[in-house]
Amino acid sequence: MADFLLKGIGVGDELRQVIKEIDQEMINRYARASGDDNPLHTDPEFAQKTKFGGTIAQGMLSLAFISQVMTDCFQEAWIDSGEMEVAFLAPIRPGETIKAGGQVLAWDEVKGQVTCEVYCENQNGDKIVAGRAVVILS
Amino acid sequence: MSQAKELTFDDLIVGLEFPPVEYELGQNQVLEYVAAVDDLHPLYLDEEFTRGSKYGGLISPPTIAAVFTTLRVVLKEAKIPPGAIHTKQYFKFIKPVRAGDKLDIIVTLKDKYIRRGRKYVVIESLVKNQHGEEVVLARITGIWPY
Repeated sequence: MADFLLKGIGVGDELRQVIKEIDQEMINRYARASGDDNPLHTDPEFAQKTKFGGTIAQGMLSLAFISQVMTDCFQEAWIDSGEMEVAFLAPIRPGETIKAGGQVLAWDEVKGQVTCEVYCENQNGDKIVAGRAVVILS
Repeated sequence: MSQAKELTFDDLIVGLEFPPVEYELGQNQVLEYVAAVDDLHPLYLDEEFTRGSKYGGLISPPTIAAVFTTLRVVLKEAKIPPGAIHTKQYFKFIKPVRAGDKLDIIVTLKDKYIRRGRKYVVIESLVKNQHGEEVVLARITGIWPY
């Protein structure tokens, strides 16, 4: 039997959420760490003149939150075999609270494959990122 | 770089291989990334913990791949038209990446299509480490402005 079932997680179950408070300093730190110098993320004066009306977080930052949800649940299996495909639906703004989570959709016992729905949503329940993640359990 | 031609949608041919990219992942870079995404898993920070693990040493969070598969890195000799929008992202994590890894990135124009009047482009990056092992496959889907 797969480990994840022994942890009491099965098809239909929610994965434990990761909650992040997004502020401009976090966005600036990610910009430095990733080398992304797009002023849309870090220059309020520049960003105010764009259609977003202010700075927004990098989309890839939200992917790190989803990956953390998957690593917390599936540990090395996610690191060694994880696949994810997500769509960016809405921007994340400084001051928002982001919840990253997922739900187990399917378990293929033959392939040893778990398929999850994954997402990030803000404090209003608006979906920011949505997609699927797959992990192979040995 | 300022002389680089702007890559329009018509310039992009499916199957086109861009110049390969070399990228070295620095130690400080991994630590900065871990702090930036606020993920303090011991696999990324605790050497004693990882010594006892299958990895035998510290590894990076899988999504650090976002740093070296972004278009700014993999299309560094091209000029991407302003207004391009990143709409979807795909990752397949194959092996963990570690600080100090010297990565080779093969970049290909995987697909392009028009849907509901919008021009979509899919750019794939296959990343190998210094041992020739595949570590990450990434695909960026973006809307190209023109």
